Amino acid sequence: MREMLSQLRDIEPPEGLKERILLSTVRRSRLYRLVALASAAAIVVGLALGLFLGGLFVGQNQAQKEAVKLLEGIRQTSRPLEESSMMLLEAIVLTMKTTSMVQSQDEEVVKDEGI
Amino acid sequence: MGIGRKRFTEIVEESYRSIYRLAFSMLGSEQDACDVTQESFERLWRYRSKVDERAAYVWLRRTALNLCVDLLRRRKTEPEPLDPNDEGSSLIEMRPDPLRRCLRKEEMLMLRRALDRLPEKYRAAVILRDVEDLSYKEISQILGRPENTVKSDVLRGRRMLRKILAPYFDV
Repeated sequence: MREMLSQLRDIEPPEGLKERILLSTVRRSRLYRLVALASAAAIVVGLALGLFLGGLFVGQNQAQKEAVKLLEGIRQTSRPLEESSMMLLEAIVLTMKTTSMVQSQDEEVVKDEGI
Repeated sequence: MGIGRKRFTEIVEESYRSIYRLAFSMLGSEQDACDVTQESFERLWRYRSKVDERAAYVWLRRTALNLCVDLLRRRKTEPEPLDPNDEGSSLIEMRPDPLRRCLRKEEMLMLRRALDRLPEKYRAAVILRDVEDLSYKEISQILGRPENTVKSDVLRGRRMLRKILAPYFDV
């Protein structure tokens, strides 16, 4: 009976069983590790890209705000400048008028006195 | 404690044949034997950090046997007729059987079917002793039963097998 049963020792597994086992254990685990690494890398790159683009966006907004502030500042500072310019212009015009009046009076004096 | 990747690959190399043989002897189906073998190694891989490297072979065989017993209980079918000529279509022709190459087909098939008729505990004991050629001590570790009980199970199993095969073979 033992001898007869020992014939069963010659049973051979079908080809590819070992590969199948390794594929579902060691190699699958390696594959999972690779996928996990790739996912982690993708997440890191995504985050970095997001932060960079977000930073750019925020920077752009900041720049816009700064520009608006600057423009307002210029507008505010340009009023006194305009006023002073007007005053300056008025002063110049007044000076010119005064000068011409003085000049014409001088000419009349010269005529009257026969110089 | 624990089995590394390299050691696990070595264990697969060394024992996948024996686990397949055990599963095939218990179940008689190539497909089921492959599934049980694969599942046993997958479980070893899953619990590799908890299994002692020295006990890996015992652990594997015990797992494979438990899976076989579960499968047999789920099947709950009547054993096939012992003589392959009793049925219309021969299983030998239907199954791409690796036994074909090296064994007398009918004898092997009848032997397998005779094993199917043994109660599970006798079948496991006989296969581990006479097919796997393990010592009673190893079998007792795998089955979790005392050595004397294992010896008695093997003897009873052989006796039952002899009785089943007596009409066909000079055993």
